[in-house]
Amino acid sequence: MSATERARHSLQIRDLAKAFSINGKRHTVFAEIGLDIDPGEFVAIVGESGSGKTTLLRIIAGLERADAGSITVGGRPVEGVGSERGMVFQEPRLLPWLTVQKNISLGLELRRLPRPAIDRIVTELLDLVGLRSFASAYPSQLSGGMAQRVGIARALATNPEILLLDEPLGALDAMTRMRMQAELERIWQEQQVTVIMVTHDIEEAVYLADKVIVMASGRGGIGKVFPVPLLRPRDRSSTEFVTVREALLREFHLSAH
Amino acid sequence: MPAVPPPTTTVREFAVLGLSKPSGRSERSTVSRAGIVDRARQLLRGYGAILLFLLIWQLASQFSFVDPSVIPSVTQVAAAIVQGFADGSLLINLLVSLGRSGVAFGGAVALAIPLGLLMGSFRRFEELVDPLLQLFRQTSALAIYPIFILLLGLGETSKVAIIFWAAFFPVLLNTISGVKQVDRRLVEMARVFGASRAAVFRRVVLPGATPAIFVGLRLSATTALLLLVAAEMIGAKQGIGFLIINAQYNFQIPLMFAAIVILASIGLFANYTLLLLQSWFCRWERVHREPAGAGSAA
Repeated sequence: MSATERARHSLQIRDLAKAFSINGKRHTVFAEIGLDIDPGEFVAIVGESGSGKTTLLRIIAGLERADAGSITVGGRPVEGVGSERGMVFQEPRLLPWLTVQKNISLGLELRRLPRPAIDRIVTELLDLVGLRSFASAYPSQLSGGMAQRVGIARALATNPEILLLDEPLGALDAMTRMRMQAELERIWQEQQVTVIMVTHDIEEAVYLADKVIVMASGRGGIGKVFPVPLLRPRDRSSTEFVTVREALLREFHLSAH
Repeated sequence: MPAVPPPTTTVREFAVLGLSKPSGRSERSTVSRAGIVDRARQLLRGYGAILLFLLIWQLASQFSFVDPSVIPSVTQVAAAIVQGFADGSLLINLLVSLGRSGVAFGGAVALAIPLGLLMGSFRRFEELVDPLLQLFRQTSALAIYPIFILLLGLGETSKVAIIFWAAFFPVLLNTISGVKQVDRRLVEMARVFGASRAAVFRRVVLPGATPAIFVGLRLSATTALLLLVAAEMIGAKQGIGFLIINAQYNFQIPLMFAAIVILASIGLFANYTLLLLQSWFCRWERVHREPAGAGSAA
């Protein structure tokens, strides 16, 4: 699968608003969100629980509808789900009755690609996520990290322009999580895909993202955008890294400095 | 939703089938002394209790701890089975019974699975019909057999109908609950990857509900046999159930026991067949719950 088969476009969000009504009372999740994401950019969205970061991601994925505003990819409005956007959930959500390779090929089979093309893409993706020897294993035989790598491969299979990650490493232990962050960075660089990742791990956001977007709860949307102008691969203990992390923590009133 | 048994097949049942180890190939190919001893020990664990029961039965009857005219010995029963098959009397009754329960069970399954899938998929419909189903389900099929006889006569139709009735509900209710228990998050995932409603049903709902459907099938098979005997004990001229009652009237006690053993065998065979089918349809449920390979972390 060549990463250049599909043209990469920028994603634009304009005046996006969403409210829920619970027991007849309306709760504004966010109002008037505006955002520009360049092709190939790695964007992290951080925020406390209830800040609407997952809702924003689900609207971009097409799983929920916004009340107002627009989302466009390359100028074309986004309606519902679409193959130009791939999604990785917090739980791997693999089909337990399918092997690893059949799980990865799900989106391709649903789009009725010819079998040889499917096999070629799946083999490449198995190599990409380092699970070639697990091709015919079932999900119950995988560790959490391996299952999530299958989830990432499945999302990449349809060669999306934009990869949406909803706290993909949130359920993993600390060591696995750090290893997977490096994996994610490598995959992103190899695939030249735009990544939008929701996380509540600030260090993860600083380690991976070109810019970090802070969703402020109660303030109706995006609080601040923090560019992360650090060279890759990033050193978590470097002064520059710590400085950016401190700035973000201050935004959440979590810094001692 | 009613309390339906969870869709489980015990590890033990698979173990009895010899299915517990997917890597059984290497195990069987090593014909060593230790292997044979292991195998014997395994058999003893699986069937030891049955062997002991048969032994006690044999000795108790043979040495008249129990009245041998009421409880004949195992060997007498075995002889009656052999003779029954030799003169054809057991075989013809067996075939009649298999025909009745097979038609009824098959019909019940053919109707209950599609209906259950439909009802599980459309909640409004299910809510509407569920109270009625609960009422029917809680009414003993034996209690309403007289109604079936009044409506359909004492012939084949009422017998097949009552078995159908009793076999229908376990499959239906388990199918419904199987569909409803399908993980919504998997359905959502499939939608993200471009699945239509039909594709979601075929690729997520149906495989997700299959283990529960098999629980229903096995419950149904048991119930079908129960009702078969009951139906054949009332106004039948053929069948295993008829044979049991008839042999008792004529005081052919070994033959009666032979018929009971045959009946138990049908039940075991049906359950075994369904377990085999289940283990084939749900291969993914049998894999080891541990990482498939060594070394690779994360």
